[in-house]
Amino acid sequence: MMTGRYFEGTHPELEARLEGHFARLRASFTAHGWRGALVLGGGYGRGEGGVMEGPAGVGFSNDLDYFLFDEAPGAASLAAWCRQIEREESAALGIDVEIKCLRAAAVGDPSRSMMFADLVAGHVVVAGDGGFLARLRAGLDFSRIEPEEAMRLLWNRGSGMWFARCRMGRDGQLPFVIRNHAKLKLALGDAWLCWQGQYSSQCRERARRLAAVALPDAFAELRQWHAQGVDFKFHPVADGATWHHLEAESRHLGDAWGRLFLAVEAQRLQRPLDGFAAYLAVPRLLPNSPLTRNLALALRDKIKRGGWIRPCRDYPRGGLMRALPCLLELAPGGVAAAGRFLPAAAGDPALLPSWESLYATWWAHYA
Amino acid sequence: MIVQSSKEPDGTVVLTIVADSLDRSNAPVFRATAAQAIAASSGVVVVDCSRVEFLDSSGLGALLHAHNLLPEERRPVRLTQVGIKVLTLLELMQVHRIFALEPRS
Repeated sequence: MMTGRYFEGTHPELEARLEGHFARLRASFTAHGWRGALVLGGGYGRGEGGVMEGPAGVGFSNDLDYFLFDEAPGAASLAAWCRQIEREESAALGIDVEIKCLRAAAVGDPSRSMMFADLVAGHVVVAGDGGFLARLRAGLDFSRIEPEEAMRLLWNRGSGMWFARCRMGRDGQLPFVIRNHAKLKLALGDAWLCWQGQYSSQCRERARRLAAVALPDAFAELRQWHAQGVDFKFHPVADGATWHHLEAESRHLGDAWGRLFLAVEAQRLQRPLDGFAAYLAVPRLLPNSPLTRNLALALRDKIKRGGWIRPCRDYPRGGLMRALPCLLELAPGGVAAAGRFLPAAAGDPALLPSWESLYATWWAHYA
Repeated sequence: MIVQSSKEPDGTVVLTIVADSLDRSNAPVFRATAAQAIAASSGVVVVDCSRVEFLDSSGLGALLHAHNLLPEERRPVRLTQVGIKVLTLLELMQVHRIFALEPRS
């Protein structure tokens, strides 16, 4: 398959829509006198955006993820412009447009972060001078991506699978469940490669690498799942599965997720973890965040958000990372054990729906 | 050097990992040394893990590679002096049954 500038294959109508969108952004960016650079990252920026093909024609299927590099990324006027562009362009294109504002210096050594390594490897500079990203490409080394990145990927996609589990069987939610399963299937293989120092920014290359590594029998399905995830990424098909099949798949994926998550965490934390009981008992999962900062965040959350994530001595994401295996019924005590780490549930703590909006809210704060 | 290879009189191949970690940085060397030593003998394979404190997926892959190189009659690979971190990982990955494991005392 030929790789185009934004997606695989040739879709002149979609290319024209994207380029019209870029022209609008460029004009507005210039008119407002912004001095930084507006850069498209994500799948479309790397040339591997998704294309949905249906009876009505082709359409975009992924979000458009922008990075706006500016020396004053917190400026209110810049934030207001970003939110306005996000609203207008999301409505115009029918997909979510998101702009993240940050300083160019935040990219740092891009080889340590999956997000920045991906961005440096493939992007489209839509407005301003983003040439510094291309200059960083020569020093890019994906084998140096931090082990924490594999954990973050698994935690995010594992959370997505849990949200999917909450919506299992609900009217109109089949596409959501299928999409989140596909994302996790891709992530399991990607995390394996990242753990092994073999990650690459191109998902077809990752599939080739995964095909060549020795996998334990218990993880043999990683290759097949990854291939399915890649197919879905390029050409999402959100039907053809039954709830019965998806429920069984969720259990199967959850089991593989749990074992890989623990293995990756055992490496990151440099301690033996023979199960989630041992994991939940680790005093601090994110030891690089200072204790005083964590306590201050807990206090702020109590005042501003009416609750806090436990244990307070850990960065709040640590509590969410402990809650997820409970919610996925992989830890002793089952779903209700999430109550050790999250604020009080809205209903019976043994039931998934009681945690759904609560976990989603806190996950959005600390993902 | 990260692995020393020796052959005992009965043909047993002993691979001694002399690093504290078998990971992405040294797994290719282990794989190559193991392949060479396995091809040069017809005996069983012992991997001395007494110094190994850490194994990542590359290291695990290297051990599986050695296992896969062996014909049925020479299996399983014997891992000796296996520390708790490595043992836990092998169990987590559900490969502990394909090797003959001797935990560190």
